[in-house]
Amino acid sequence: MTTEHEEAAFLSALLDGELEGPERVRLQKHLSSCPSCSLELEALRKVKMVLAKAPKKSMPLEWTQTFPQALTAAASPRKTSSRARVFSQSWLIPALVAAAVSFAVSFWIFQSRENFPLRHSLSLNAVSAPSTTVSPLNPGSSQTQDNTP
Amino acid sequence: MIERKEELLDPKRFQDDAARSFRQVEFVALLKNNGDKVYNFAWRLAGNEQDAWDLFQETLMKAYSHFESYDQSRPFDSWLFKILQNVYLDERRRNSRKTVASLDAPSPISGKPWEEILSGTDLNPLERLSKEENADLVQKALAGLPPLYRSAVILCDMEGLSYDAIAEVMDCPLGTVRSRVHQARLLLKKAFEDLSDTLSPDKQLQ
Ligand SMILES: [Zn+2]
Repeated sequence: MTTEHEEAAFLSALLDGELEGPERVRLQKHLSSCPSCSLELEALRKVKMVLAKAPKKSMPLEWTQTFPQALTAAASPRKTSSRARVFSQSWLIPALVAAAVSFAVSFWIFQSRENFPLRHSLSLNAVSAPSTTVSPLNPGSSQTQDNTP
Repeated sequence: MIERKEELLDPKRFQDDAARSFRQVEFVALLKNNGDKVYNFAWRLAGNEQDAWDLFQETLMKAYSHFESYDQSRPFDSWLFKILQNVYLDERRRNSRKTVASLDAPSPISGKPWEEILSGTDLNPLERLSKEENADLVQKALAGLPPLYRSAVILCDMEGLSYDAIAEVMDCPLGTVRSRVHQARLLLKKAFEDLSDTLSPDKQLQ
């Protein structure tokens, strides 16, 4: 049942604990005497639960390779990408950058190897290039597609 | 060649380089703690792993190049969410010139008014689905939402952000967050019902 009561617009806020003061009191009073709004509230609660319980994905381990690579590429004086301007033009900088990031990243992998299975990197390989040939990020050739009708 | 040697010996320059390296490590450390949430947001927003990966990488680069402007007293995840959301919307706008896509307009399913769409509230079939089926349905249902509704409801229900935090990420008033979350849930409710109807009959326990 769909309610046409204007109070219904606040049902999600109530559900999220984001309704306070007189608005909250008024809505709760309305709910105690309105079966259709009560039903609607329950339906919204289910939607919220389904989303909250939906599986999550962790970032693929590829980032530990591609991110330092992308930084190095962006810092390289040979590239004329606008990003390069953020970094120094000296060859020393990319070297330091890559070293620092690689160190931090390897340290992190070492630390979290036990509780971070490689399944995500495997599943990602199925849809992207093999990890050894992942090219540095190129914003101009992003292939993000519009999945929304 | 000689010039380069002088650069190397410049102590000021060396100090700058060291500071920069320190920032890199700092960035990676923050990413280590927040990256999963941000990647999950990218995945739910983009709808598939390939696009999520592109979006995530673009976000990291953008975030890194603006790292100086990050206010350390604020949550790093919200800062990344905001950048990611903007990268996503920019990308969409670039691509949507070909299509007629409105970012915020309520797009009632099959062109019916909201009131008509939202009758019937039986989500029980959905609750009986396996995890895999559920995940697939959730992704499909989310894909059908206008992007700003999708963002709001993902941040609220999947990332656990408060309305205040969402308002900051989405750069909009609190009332707008409230309305986007609510409308998103109403549309999702309908989408879940429709999608669970399309399941094979043995999946639909009565
Ligand atoms: Zn009512």
